[in-house]
Amino acid sequence: MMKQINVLTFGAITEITGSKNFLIEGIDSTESLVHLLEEKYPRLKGVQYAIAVNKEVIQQHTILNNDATVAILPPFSGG
Amino acid sequence: METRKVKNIFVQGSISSAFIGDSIQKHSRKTDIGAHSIFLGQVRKDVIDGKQVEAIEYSTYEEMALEQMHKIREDIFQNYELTCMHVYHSIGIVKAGEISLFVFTSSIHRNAAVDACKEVVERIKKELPVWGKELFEDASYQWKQNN
Repeated sequence: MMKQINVLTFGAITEITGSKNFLIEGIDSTESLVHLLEEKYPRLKGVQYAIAVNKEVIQQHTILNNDATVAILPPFSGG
Repeated sequence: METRKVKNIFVQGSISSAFIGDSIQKHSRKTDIGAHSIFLGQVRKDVIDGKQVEAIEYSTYEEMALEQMHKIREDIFQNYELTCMHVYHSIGIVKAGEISLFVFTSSIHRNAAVDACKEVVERIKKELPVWGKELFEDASYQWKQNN
């Protein structure tokens, strides 16, 4: 069964992907997700972002379980 | 140590001075408090490339921000002897001159409140998934960058 990943985007990243929320199938690691997204949205290559898997920012690439939520986060600017 | 519930810190629009005054007033019943430390973040009318910032529009990954704020809160209560701590962050549009962040710490003796407040503000700016869109007078915008 193909894995399904929920992708969330915010801020400047949403402007690049055109969508806040979408599903991706057949991806099982953050590394392959990044590869896929950067290929689909080349502008991503030129911007800074962090990746959160199930609401935790990851410091290195990781395997994704089915139904994981991956958020592509531009640099924080709250406060 | 008791487990605290995850609190909602987000308010729609700017934080009014009436709300701030009210929050202070509400603490007068807590007679063991000797000091409050209050931080207010105000939207500054920055001038960038000759254009003025009229407002900031804040957005957030709310679920993650609340969880992260909860972690910050737990750390702060572990490291500082506070009687309480309140954090309010605006979401949506906040105009220049209005308040978008209100951090309020209270303690028996002042050092804890002052030091904790400072640390909370820095951690919020660094660790919460919140974004500010700086809106200029000519309807153009740029994404805020924290330093």
